[in-house]
Amino acid sequence: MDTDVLRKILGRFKLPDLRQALEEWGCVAVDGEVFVGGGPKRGVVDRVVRACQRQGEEIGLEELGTLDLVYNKMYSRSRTWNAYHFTGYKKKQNDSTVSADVFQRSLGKQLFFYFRHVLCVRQYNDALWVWLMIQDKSSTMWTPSNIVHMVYYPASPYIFTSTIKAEYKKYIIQALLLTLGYSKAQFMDLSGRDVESLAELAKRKHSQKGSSRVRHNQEDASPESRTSRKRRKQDEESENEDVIPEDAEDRQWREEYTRDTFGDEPQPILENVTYKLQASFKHGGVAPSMDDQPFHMTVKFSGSNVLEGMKALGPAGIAEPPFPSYLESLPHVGKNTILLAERRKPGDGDDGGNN
Amino acid sequence: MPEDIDTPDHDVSTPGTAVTSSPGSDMNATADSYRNTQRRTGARDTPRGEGGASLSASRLNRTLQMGYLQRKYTPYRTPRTRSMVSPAADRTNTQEVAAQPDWSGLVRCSLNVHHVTPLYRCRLDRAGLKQLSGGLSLHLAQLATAADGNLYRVAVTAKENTDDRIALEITVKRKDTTGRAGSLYAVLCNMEGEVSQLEQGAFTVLPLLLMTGPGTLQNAVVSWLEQRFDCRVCPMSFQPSDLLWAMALGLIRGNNEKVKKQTLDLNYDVPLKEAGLDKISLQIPIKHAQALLSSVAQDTENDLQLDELYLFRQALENHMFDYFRIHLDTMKLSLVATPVLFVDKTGRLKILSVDHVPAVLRMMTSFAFERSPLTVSLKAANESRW
Repeated sequence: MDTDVLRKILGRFKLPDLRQALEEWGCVAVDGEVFVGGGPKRGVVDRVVRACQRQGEEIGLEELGTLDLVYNKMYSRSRTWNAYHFTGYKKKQNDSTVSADVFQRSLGKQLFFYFRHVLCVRQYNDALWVWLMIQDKSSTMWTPSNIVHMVYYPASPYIFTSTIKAEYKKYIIQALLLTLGYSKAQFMDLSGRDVESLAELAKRKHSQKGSSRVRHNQEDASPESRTSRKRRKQDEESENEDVIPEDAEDRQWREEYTRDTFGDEPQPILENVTYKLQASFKHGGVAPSMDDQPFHMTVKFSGSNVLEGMKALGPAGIAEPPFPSYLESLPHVGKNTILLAERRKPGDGDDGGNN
Repeated sequence: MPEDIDTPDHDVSTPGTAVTSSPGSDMNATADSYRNTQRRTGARDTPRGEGGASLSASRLNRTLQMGYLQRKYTPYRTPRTRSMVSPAADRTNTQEVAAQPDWSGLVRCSLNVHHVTPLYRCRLDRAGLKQLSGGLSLHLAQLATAADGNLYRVAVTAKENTDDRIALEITVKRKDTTGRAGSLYAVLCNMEGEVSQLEQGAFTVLPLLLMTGPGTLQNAVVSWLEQRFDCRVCPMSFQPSDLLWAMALGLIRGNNEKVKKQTLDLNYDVPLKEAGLDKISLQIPIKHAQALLSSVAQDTENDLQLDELYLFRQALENHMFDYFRIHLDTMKLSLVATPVLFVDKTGRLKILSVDHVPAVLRMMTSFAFERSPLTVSLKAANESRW
């Protein structure tokens, strides 16, 4: 058993979470005494490691992998996830996606053709969390650079992975396609840190826009919640009656526009939204000699929750409604890297076509 | 901010207004330059975005007719014109290049920029430098705890430039590690202004301090400088207009093939941090940015006007508004990155190529001059004596 690796993984957990993590892991029977001692985390970790050694059951790579999976589930926001979309479903095996064990077995079988690996799959809520470590040289070494994490929602054509090394990428994708019964996988230009938000955005992309407003939590199903929110806002503003807002009408119009376009409910969390703009330079008369020259610009919005922030641009006065279509439809388009290029055909106007 | 178009006699030297008055009519050079710096520092203190007062083409035309753009300023008045090319030191004359001091310690590391008031009793000959080294190591030893008392090796040297300028170079190395990890490197220099102005009686004017290294060491060196030379060392922060100048310098000298990404990056701070949006960053390929700059500026090498940079900014704002309906002028520019240099508003500087170090230092020195009225008034007092 590799105590150094075990110690390193255990040390990554925060001390309050360590107890829950060990329970989820289930490989070691840990009684409360280990934690009662208090003191620094290193002491607690040492005690756990000793308990593992005393236990007698060998803690091999698979168990370490499961522990790493538990860590990843708990701290999934520290990793950047990329979304892939599967197409071309062939009705081969429906049952390979039902439970974690079945999935693990069939995926393991497929991956075995390509390389030696260690695979762990667990189910949390309604998603399968997968931990995969590819071993290239010897079969007992812990190679952290070859670890891939994946999250798969069964019966949906999406999968979210951490960054995969280029040399292994096509093999892993191929194995996934064969296990799940699809024929093609494509990277959606969607990446972020919060897996649930990514899943929400991916789901939205392929659903009808009009009828799905309620499903996407953009409109409340219950008629009461909106009035209560309005009442709350009015209470805040009526505190100081001496303040007469001069731009009440403007503010109201902006708020209404934002509510109509984006809806009331909180938006899924994205950290970066990038627009690559390759259209003609609209300098407004300032630089007339640049009219025929190409001008590319990449605009990147970043922050803790970009979609909420963009929603707030209108009411804050920084942006002027009505927004162009590629800003308005951002929560539905399921991407966070968008290319706006002009179709360079003669006779075509200046409309930026979404590519 | 009221736009004083109808009162062209005032030199409202804040960014965003088109009107500037001609300095040739001023009789009293001292008062004028002092007044200018006062107003400029006053304007800089208000932490507002440069919003709302964007330069429209029509207003610019009017000032063109009045011929205001054709003025030249001398460097000690508030410069609305800067030269991007140095008078002597950047000529590709092999003789002169060989005599350049070695600035490679300043390249490719994150520098903190400070501005320093004139130093009292700074002797830059060999004995004086030895004294300084001893003084600094004593100071560091006093600050350190008993355990690691003798950890640092201090060297204070002087670097000579081609035109007899002297820069002070401070190196504090850790004795146990090799390489630059954990050690501090600082340069005190004055790259602009005439050489004769370096010594004003008992004062030495070296207004620019660049330091790289651990924070505790930096604080220790700063406190020693203040103690030894009776000066004030203040961290410099850059306003959006200064960042625009730095961007212009980076664009004009944009030949650094070693860098992978040849883009001009501009970061704007969005005041919606609690809502979730932190910053908006624009990335433009260098060639396009250079084309835009040369299309709005008449003479990019020698006399770049601040108003021309405003036109550049205006073009970007119009482009952004047309496609995204976002008013870029409500937000403050906070970071500029080009293949040659990287500057942000908190005073961090990174120079990525050793050929352009003198030019960058010159620009930073002129920023430092603008910030310390003491230095400027010393110089102005000197000027009026003639």
